[in-house]
Amino acid sequence: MWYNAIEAKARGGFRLIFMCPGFPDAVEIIASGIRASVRVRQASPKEWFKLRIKEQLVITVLVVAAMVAGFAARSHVNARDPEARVLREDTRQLSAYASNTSSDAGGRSDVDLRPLEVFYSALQHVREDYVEPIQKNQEHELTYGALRAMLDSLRDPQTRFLEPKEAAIVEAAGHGKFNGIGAALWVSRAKVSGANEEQVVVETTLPGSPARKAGLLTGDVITTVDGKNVLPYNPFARVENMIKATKNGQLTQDKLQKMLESENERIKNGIGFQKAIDQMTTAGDKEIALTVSRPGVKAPVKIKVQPALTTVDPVSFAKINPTVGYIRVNLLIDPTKTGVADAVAEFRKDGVKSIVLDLRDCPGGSFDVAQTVAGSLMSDRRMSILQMAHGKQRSLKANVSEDVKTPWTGPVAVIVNKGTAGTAEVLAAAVRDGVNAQLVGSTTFGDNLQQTYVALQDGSAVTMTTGKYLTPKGGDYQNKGLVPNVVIAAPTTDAPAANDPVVAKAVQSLAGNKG
Amino acid sequence: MSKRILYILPVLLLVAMAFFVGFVAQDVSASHGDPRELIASIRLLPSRMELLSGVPEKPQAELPVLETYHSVLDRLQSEYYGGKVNDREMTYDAIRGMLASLNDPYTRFLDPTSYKQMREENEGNFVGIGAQLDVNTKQQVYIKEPLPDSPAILAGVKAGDIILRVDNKPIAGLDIDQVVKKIRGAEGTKVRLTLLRAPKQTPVEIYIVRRVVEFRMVRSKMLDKTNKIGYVRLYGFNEHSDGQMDDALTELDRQKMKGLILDLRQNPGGLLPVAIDIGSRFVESGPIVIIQERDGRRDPLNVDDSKHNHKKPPLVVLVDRSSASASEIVSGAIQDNKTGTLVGTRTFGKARVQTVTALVDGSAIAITTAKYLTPKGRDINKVGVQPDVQADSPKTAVEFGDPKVDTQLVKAMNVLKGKMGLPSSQPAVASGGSR
Repeated sequence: MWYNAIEAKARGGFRLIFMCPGFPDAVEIIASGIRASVRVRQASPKEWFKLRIKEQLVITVLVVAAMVAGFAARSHVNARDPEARVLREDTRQLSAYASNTSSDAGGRSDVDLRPLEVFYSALQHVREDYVEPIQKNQEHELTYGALRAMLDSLRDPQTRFLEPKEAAIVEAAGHGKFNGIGAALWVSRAKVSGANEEQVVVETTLPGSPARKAGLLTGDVITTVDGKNVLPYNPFARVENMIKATKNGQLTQDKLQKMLESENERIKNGIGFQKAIDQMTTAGDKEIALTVSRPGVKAPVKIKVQPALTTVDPVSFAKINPTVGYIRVNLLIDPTKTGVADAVAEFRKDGVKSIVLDLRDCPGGSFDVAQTVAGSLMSDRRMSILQMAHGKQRSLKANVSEDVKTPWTGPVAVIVNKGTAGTAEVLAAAVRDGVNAQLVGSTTFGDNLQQTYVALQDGSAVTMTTGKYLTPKGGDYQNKGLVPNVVIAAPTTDAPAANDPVVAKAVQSLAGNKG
Repeated sequence: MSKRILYILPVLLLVAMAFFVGFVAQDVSASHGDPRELIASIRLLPSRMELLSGVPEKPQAELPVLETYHSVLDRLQSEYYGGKVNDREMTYDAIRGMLASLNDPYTRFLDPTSYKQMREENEGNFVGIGAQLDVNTKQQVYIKEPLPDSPAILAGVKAGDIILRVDNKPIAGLDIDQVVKKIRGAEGTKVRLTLLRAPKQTPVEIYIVRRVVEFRMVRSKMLDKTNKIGYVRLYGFNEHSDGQMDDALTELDRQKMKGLILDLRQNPGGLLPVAIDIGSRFVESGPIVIIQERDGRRDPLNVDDSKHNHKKPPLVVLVDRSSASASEIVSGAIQDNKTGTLVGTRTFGKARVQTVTALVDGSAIAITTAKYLTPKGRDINKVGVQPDVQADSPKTAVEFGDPKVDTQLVKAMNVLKGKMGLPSSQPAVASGGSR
């Protein structure tokens, strides 16, 4: 309790000052209710003692008595009229939900609470009325159904709900372990028969994986899995286009009829692209039969892959000659940080002058690993400009890890190819822009979207697109890829670096850069 | 002005305020479950979500629906890169997904547009031409059945007519809903249909004035005037159905009906109480249906004796695979009580009761809230009611009560004649009798 000095200004400019025990907020709210302009401040002792003791006592007793009387009066009203309370609570409910249009309920008045309430009441009805009572251990199925449908409605293949077994695939990849065919798969959009469709594309095959052994290549579009057609979100888009074409007179009724029948067959014998990806990336021992459409090859290519666990060694390094060190990064995962730091330390000790960083077929990994690798290999700390939702931007820096202490200052060349994707591309662009590193090889994959992975408490997860990584200079290479300074065919290879013509070209570019 | 007055005013004001404070305080202390608090606690979740976003040591078993939905939606709204997130549409999809996970085809979400449409249909009237459309095997939209007394039937539209053009615009390639949309329109306006009617090769042009079409639920006639066989077709179970049924039976009684065919084919069902009313007209006593609540409690809905105001001649009930829900209640009750013979094909098999609840924003959900059993305790869900006498559906579209092409109706007449002790007749003779 405070003693408040209340200055009330009535309409005629008549000013009142009086004392009141109580919380200032409460007094102010009530006063504003009676439409007087009121200022409440804590009374100074001087003001209080101006009043005589008797007056002080009388005022205090009156106020306390009135409060008690008010409390009792309301209790009486409530007890006599049981409906009054129900009614009041109902009104309150209405006003709380209408708060999106007025600010009376306080809080975030820009938020429409109705969707939340609609969802909530739908859920309550299911819980209370559905013919088969929902068991406690079934509730996650409702959650999974809701999240899957909700995220799929964005029609963004990289924004989806992952059930625990799907989330496990992502988490295993974080440890360099890949089940199934052992390829990094990407979903892109392409025009097929006039319809914009999602396609499953091979981003890279991992070293030593069944996919690589079976001859799957970066850029291959997977069209069937075990004889089932891979379908986009809307498998009927093609049909819709055909019907449109018929209306415009570009297609005859008879032809349409035939096409509709074959489309019907195709969709009936189909599998959603996300199911197809799950099938190719889950542990199993049954051989998987794939049909791929390969750029530049007309006939569909049939490939059989025997699934197996592929464990990727994320980093390896060696000296190519006394002055050039070679680091190969296959994956940007936690151990990659120390791996690169070790390489830099050893090269320094051995008097190496320049480094070739090989990012061929590196499908990326976590961004913070890319930041640390960049921090070890270059002195410039600008990593990327991240474009985010609602027009926000943030500039991201490279990290210098404790393992390295000071970054590498010598010349660097980076080898890339079509299989260099995601955060590996961010890394390549950062080193190129930061320390003028030569990019050697072929154009990269062209995926610079940021995905955020949110693990949920029961082992499931949500992954969503949350931004776009631009180069430090603001360049956007989405779907285009980074174009190397030194262009040379840079195929996937398991050959030792010393005998690799692409590595030789990179070493040569280092010499050229110096000269 | 004396100093004393200067004091009295503020003190009075102060006392009044204190009273008010006390008054409100009681309110605040008495209220609990304030939805504002609920919402506030939900709002805190996204930050809790951050705690959850590390990989947990030991996954917890359950993921709460509301909290997870809300935190993911909130996160998408603040962080999703790739366009504005429409929380309304996403919420609708979330509800759809949630309901789909129950694997019950009758539990579904109705967005405001579909809910409005549903209400219009339940009220039993809408503006249009009053014809049921369907798509044939050649993907052509055709008139399945013009409704009784509809503008369509008065303008001469016949069952089986293939629609080629609407208002002189070809409709090939449009789906049935789009065609329906084109045909519907404001009351009093004209629509022009170009129809192909077999066996003619040249299309017929028909102009129809759209008006409010009331779904007439019952249609009846004396099918066989010599043998006094009455025929009543019930199209659905809405609030008008039982009254119309009463009228139809009264009229047939007046014409000295000796046998009755009740046609429940293509009848998708409707309101449960109406099924009890109509069932009561054909069953002596006992339950028409037994509702099994979700707690397992069985609640028999018994015959309403006040509906026994007609004679009960021998009865044959026609059913097909589109006889569903309330139609199955009535036919199941008649079969279990042996008060009639079921002729036709196995019925749809929907023995679930739905409750439709409107939600705050004009959308609604239909939720399966109970099961039902036939009077003998049979659960016919997914199984359907098996007719006593099998008769396959006619191959071509039929008009109301026309035994010339309606092979099932002919079968029903023969079965009924058997029950009435009459010799069964050939289709040609039967049709001759009815015309």
